[in-house]
Amino acid sequence: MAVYAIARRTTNVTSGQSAHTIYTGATNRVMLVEAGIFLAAATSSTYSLGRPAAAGVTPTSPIALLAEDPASPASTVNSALAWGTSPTNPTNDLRRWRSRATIGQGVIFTFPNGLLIPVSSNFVLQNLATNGVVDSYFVIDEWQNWSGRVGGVADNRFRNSALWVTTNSVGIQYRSAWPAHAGTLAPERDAAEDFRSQHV
Amino acid sequence: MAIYAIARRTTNVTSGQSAHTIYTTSTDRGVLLEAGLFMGAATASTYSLGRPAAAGITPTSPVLLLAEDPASPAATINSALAWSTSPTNPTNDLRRWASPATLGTGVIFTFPRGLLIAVSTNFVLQNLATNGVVDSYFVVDE
Repeated sequence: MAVYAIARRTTNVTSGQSAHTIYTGATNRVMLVEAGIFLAAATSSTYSLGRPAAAGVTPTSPIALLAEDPASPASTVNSALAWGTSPTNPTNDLRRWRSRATIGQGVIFTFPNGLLIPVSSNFVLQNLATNGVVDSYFVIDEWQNWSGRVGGVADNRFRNSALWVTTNSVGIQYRSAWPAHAGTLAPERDAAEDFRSQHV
Repeated sequence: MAIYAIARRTTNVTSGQSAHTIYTTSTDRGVLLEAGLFMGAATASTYSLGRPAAAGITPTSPVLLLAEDPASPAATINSALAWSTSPTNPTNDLRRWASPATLGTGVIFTFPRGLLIAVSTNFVLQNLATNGVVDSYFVVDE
């Protein structure tokens, strides 16, 4: 798992359209861990964070999220400020924020357990009114496909005692040569709510 | 691993230049844990936190970060408020903050999992507008 972030000043202030969207590809689901909004125009605004009722169509100049560890692989999650067809309002919101007409007013929402964004879906900072632009950011934890050894030692006499782990979009597979065993780890809770609950 | 920090009032308010940079040497990378900024002037400002597109050249009077445990070895990470050639804006930002023209307004960004600063690189609090000065700080795990 690796942490990625993006911060952008929004441009679309139209009510009922997305100001800032992050969207997943077909391979990796992710967890939102933080989102921040700071008003950059003196316009009283109402924003929602949520899953749009309908996803956007054709993002304009998307930008992949940036790794907080430069050694991490590139993120598969993109950010967009505008769309050919914007994501629509969430049917119900996960967070809402009403601002005064004061530049610099802001809020940081944290999701300590992670808010899951499934594959091929949008998550939006949505204009619920004719808003001012904002400096906004998202921080996510992305479960990259990965395979490697956990524990054990490099010494040939003991290397088979290592636990080999592979992560992918469906979960974690593990295998060990000695004792011979392999399987898929089950989530402690509903994986749809908390991807991070799948652990070794 | 040991925790180091530095807090300084910025002096460079020029848009497109770094207000406060921390930079690693070739030996040690650092993990950013927290960054804070509090307006020191009544000027509406826009700041970015990120990795500059181009690193700075020749820092002016750099200051080493301070150990939060005095028994720790000296940090290898430096802080600079000015450069002969400033680090440039990040191509894309990791955090952004817009302030009102109100002294004392501020924000603290935390990075609970740590944001890695590789060896021989800069990490900047960057002026994205003609800003006011700020009291700013960085906390890193080196």
